[in-house]
Amino acid sequence: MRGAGFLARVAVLAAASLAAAACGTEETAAPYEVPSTDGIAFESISLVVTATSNGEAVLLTVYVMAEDSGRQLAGSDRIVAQAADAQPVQLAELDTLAYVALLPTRETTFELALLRDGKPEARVAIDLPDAFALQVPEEAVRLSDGFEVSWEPTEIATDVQLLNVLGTCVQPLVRRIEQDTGGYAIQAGDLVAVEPAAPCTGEVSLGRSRPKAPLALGPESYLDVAQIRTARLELAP
Amino acid sequence: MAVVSSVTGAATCEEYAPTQSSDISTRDMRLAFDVLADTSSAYVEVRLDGPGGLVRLAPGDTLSVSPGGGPPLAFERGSGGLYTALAPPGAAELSLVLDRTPPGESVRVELAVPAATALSVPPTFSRGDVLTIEWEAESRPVQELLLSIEGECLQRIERSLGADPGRYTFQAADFPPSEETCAVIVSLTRTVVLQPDSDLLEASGRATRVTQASLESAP
Repeated sequence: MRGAGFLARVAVLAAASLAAAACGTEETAAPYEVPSTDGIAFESISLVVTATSNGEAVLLTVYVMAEDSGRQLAGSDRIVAQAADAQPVQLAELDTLAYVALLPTRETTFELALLRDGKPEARVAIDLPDAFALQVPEEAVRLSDGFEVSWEPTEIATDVQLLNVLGTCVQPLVRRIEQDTGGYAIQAGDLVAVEPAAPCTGEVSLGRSRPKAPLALGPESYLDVAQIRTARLELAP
Repeated sequence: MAVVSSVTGAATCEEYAPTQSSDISTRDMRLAFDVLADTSSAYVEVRLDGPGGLVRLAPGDTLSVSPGGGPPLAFERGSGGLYTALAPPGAAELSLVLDRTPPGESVRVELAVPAATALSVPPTFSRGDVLTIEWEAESRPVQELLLSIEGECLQRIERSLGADPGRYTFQAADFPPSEETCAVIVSLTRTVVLQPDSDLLEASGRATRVTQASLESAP
């Protein structure tokens, strides 16, 4: 009898499911169509630009906006980045709203252009924070000794600088560099070993970011730029 | 003195009538303590618990603290069933004594508080330069070591140190630029987590010592 009851319940559920499908109660969301830049004047197209340089290349991410919504580039619309020491690079579509490129340049200034039918309709120069090199000790350092990190300081006091030390054998350390003297001493006590104590390869990085600023393009355009350098060193407990 | 209690980690509201100590064996008690010592005093907070929750001392049973073998100081019953006492600041050893009317068993628990030290700082420093602070490093393991500096013209900067190096240097890179001069306070907070030996009852808690120094901070 248990089998008969089970079949009856299955039949009821199946009938309910069929009825729901027939009555159209199982709603299917209509696919969202991302609006494009088709027909939008260039003065109304905004770009939200993030550019980060490691000293060898600039990673560019651009979101396209118009009339308060994200936009896909339409037809022949293109975004191109160019630097004095690099060939122009066309940004590729990462997803429907973001465009990316790796611009192989050591320059701290490059140009971003919006093209329609192959002609530049809008151009903007983008300035990165000052470039620098990051120096850490070449020999292994003991956590109990600390070590010194140095770099070329910037005179732009509004740039925000964060120094990070990471490694599998230490707790992460972050310091905000409030006044740039071109160096920082990681002291005994700053680095906390992760148990069990073991040597590891650590990563020291310094990020130099500029506060977000409007970009001279469409009304919602803004710019987020940074320089980041990473150096490795051997850490011993 | 600001007190952050670990003793009150358990519920402090007396939802149930506390057990009278006369109704419970010392061996069934747990003693939780929190010591906060600074330059003016050592504030000691104790909570006694039994299987039925909070334990209140019955007449004839007393709780006292003896700093460094000195005379005992009686605890007062505070809010939430806690017992509190103020001891002199300098002692690195405190004895908690639960003295009970026979046949209750009395017990003594020894607490090792982080040693008193002094912070060596210059009378004034420039935020465009380094500030080195020195103290006598604690020889015993310290679970928390926090060094901080703050003042009207200097937002609090805090360093949680992994070992007790006995000195630390705040660098110009640590100080936000500002044109003001003001008095600042440097604080060294050392906390040890303790589980003192006792054959009769389970005792645990922490002891913190805060050492401060003031100096002037110039641009």
